[in-house]
Amino acid sequence: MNAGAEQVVEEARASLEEGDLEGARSAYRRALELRPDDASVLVDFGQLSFAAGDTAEAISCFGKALEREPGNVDALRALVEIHRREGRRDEAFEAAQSLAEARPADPLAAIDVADLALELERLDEAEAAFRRLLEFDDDPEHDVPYAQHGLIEIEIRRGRWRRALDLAVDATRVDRLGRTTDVLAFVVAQVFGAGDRPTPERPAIADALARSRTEHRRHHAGSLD
Amino acid sequence: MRGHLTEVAAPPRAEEAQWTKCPSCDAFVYHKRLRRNLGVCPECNYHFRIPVASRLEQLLDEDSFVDLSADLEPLDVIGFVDSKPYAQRIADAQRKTGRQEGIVYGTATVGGHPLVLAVMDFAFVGGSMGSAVGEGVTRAAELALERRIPLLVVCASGGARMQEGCVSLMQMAKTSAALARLHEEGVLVVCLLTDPTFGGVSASFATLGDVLIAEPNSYIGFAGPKVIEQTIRQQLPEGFQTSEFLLDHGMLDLVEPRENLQGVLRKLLQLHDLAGELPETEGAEPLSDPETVSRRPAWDIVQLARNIERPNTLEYVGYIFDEFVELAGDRLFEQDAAIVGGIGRLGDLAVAVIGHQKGHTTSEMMERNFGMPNPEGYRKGMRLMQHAARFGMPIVTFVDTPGAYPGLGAEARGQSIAIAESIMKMSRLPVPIVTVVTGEGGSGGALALAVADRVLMMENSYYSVITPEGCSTILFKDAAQAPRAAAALRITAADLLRLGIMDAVVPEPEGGAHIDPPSAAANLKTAVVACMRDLVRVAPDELVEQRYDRFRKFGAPGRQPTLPPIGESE
Repeated sequence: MNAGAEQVVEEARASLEEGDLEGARSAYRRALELRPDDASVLVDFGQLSFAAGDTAEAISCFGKALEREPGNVDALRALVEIHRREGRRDEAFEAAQSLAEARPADPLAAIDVADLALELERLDEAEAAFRRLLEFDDDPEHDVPYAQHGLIEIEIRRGRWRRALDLAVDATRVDRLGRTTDVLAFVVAQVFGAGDRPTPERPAIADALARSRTEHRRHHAGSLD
Repeated sequence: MRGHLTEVAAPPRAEEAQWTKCPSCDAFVYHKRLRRNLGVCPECNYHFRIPVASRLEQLLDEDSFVDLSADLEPLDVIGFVDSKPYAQRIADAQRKTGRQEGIVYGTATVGGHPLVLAVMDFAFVGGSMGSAVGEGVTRAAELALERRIPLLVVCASGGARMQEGCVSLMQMAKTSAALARLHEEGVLVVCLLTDPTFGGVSASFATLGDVLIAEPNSYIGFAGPKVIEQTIRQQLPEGFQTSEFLLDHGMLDLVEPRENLQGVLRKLLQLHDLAGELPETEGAEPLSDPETVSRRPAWDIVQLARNIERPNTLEYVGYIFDEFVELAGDRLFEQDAAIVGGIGRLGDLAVAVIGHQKGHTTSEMMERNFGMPNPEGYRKGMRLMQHAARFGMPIVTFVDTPGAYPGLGAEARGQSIAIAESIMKMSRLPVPIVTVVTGEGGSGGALALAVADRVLMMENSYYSVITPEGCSTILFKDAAQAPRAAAALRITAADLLRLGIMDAVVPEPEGGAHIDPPSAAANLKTAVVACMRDLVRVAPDELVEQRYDRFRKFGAPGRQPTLPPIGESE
């Protein structure tokens, strides 16, 4: 790399660190002319384009970055986010899978794979992802058994009520917030019939299960540890 | 063993990401920018949970940390097994964090002031408190006691660690008992509550500090919000159990953004390590001869005392003290804005300051409840008085209230008891107390902050058992007779000086304090410093005895001066 290119990249990164996003974007544009194959410059420019609302440019940059560095974590995570926001679930899922392969112990990546597979009704893949999360994200300090909640949702969609019942019973035992109580009541009503108390409705159950997954995702996103 | 910050930091990973997504505003933030911004999202101010190494780096003087926690080992006391054995879970956490346990303790300096600190690691099994965490906090407290230097505890925890059964429950008692010894011995304890602080930690050492500081929007509580929601079957209000919620409810002293934490800590440590000289002053001397006090009709003085432009407590504090840290909360029910307090620096002497607070506009007056405290205000005042007594700080109180708030809730929460206790506690505090009536001295609500060794009055203030309007209505059966009642009640500085209620009068600029607040404050500073100069030389027992005698003489036959009827004195 020539000295001029190095200097422009440093200037761009300094602007980025200072929070001067417009200055950074302009410097990155110049840096890209000098170093069009540098994956980290492409990622930084892609993130800035994304922040500026230019998602087409951002996707293009992340794609190029991945061609040069296939497991680039930042490019993959940003692609998951952009595709999710724009409703392109298949593309988001593909990026999430690549991210999970690049960072196998990253709960956020695994959660994205599981959630997106569920949204796409790819239930086998969703089940595999939630089971994997059960293995490496099983900190008992989690208040809600969110991975079990994912598995319950899958079994409900499959109509396998006995399995859903087993999972709900297990989840109720470890659920410190009592979030599974209504889920269990709903599943029990499907297996044994409605009792004399009101049974929660399916949309409310789906919302509750989705909320537990969303809150858990935020929990992992909020820590720099 | 000398610890370097890099040694306790988690090892860097080759695939470390450069960008982080903010869970609050969804922005992608460049890591270096986030780090430079102390782990606070530059877009929305969301405070990320940060690793212990970053916390130490942000709070302490560079290279000052000496890690003493190397031999803290977790104990598998009950052989607990859930989805995996406890021992394996601990081993996983150790591998993940590069740390033996969920706490680091040691010694360090902040702004050159030595302290002992203990920092919890939320990444280690959710910051849960087992035997090793309890041991770390307790050892830190014992070391602080031995060296008589302040203790800082940085808290982040989901609560007690279930896998150690009742032994983990006992850590609440162990750590609380350790902090009690510091409390008794007058060693400062500051607790910094970060997101999240819950359960057995929030219900023990985390909330037992002399000063409780929290980061913005941190979740702090005993039971988790979802547990409460499930139990009471009601949706909880927005912001429930955030640090701001706790501040509003009187449970915290301060909520400070991360960028201010080191500065606030440095200031607190400095203020608790001062016992130097009082400053030289330039204001006019206080008046102790009633004949030298300007003569104005009592009703005119009432109007001047109530003038909305008149300087209030926080303004006087700004003029008189070189530094000031306001501390909030009664730790019982609510933050009462009608009484303010904190620690200030007067020359090289740390002084606790407590006073009624009004405002200059309608909205400010409403926010401050027109300077009429609820019981929470008096309880906050008492908390600060006890803080001052523990650390040997003199107290200055500023009185400016129409009276204690006559409200339904105030009565339900024990307004009388709060005032009575404040009066009683003040009478026995083993530190010098100087009170200045700066505006309205409204009855018991004023006296609750005025049982002092020296009681001063600004020239155009008044001090009365009842408002002139109230007296007029009750005794003269006519509210319009208030000017007459004001004169009859003998509420002016000159009369109260004659009666011995006041020790001296602080002269005001021509036209009143509001005409020239800096001059009024300079005169007030001269009077306060002169009183303090006398009082700091007196032994604590003697102070309490003299204060008893000062108030014992009121109304005692042969000791109480009397005034002739108004017509004869005029």
